[in-house]
Amino acid sequence: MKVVSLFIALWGILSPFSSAYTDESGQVIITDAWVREAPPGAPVMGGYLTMKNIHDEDVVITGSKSSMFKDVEIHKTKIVDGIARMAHQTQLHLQSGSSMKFEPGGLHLMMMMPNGAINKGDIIDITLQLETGEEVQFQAPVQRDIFD
Amino acid sequence: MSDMERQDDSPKITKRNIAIFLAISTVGLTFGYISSRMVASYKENKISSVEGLLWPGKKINRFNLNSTDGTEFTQDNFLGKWSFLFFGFMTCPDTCPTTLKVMATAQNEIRKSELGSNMQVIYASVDPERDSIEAMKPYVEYFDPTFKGITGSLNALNVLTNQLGVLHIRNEPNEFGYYDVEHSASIIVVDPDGRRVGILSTPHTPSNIANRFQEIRKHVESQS
Repeated sequence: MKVVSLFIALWGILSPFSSAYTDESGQVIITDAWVREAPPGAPVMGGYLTMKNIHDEDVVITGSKSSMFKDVEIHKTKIVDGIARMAHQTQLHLQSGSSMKFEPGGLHLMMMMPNGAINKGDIIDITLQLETGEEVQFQAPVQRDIFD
Repeated sequence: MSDMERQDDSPKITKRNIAIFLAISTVGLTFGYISSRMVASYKENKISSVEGLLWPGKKINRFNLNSTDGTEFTQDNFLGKWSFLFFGFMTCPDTCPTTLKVMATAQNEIRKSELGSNMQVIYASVDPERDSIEAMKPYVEYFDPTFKGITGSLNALNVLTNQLGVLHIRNEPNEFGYYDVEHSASIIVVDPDGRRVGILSTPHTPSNIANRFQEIRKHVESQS
């Protein structure tokens, strides 16, 4: 697992367009992270990413945080009978060997109350918290859209 | 024996439990089958009638809101144009900006076609407590400079939303005072006579908005 982590870390450093991040024990890999630029006046931002569990045990993600926001929650947009609502996810199960995508219209990081102005091109530090107490730290660029 | 004690009993295989199990399974399987057929028919695009068409159209009666143009926005502002009207709020990180972005691209697609002239996109905030009309102006124009924002008091909004069957429900705030406003995610199509003639439900892509709109418009024009 150490070798894999090292490889991932090196890939993250060397690849200019796609960065990969993992936790200390190398269970969860985060890729394709980005944060949607807030339209003028919007006090919240949406964060997106792909995560993969390469461990042979399931992982539970219990929360998220960022030093640049007062609060970051994992939300899922659900459209039921044509009505859009947000469901706060406090126990996100990521099965062994599986991937999960946070993408517009589905799972997303609800990033509330930025500590200062955040603009396109800025890099946001984000942490996902695991049930084991471990954390996955990663960085996400602020973009206007998924391909920017 | 109290209810609590009864609940502590471990489940037993009785005829009644089997019947309940079968009933629930049947409902579940039927629902699963119907929804899978709906998804399949949607994907194969075999729906013969015009998708999203609400015909005959329903005339939108008197309402009075404020527009980011700095003027009033009433039922008369629909006249002479094809309108795309949808609802949301600014403290919404995912659905609302996604729909606005998709609608901006859809508008560009529609404008390329000969049927596409004379349209307007109107975004109504159902969270007037946080979204002032002044704050909404740069917000909607960020997505497209032609987009118009409207809002008003909850009572004034309800005069419009009740006519359209659009729901909006404010949830309880979290510890930081943030609250979600559940709202209809569909885009309403209003014809140049001020009639609601279509509803474009999710999922939205620029091309499925443009295509459904063109079909609705062709149908409405063929009936006039």
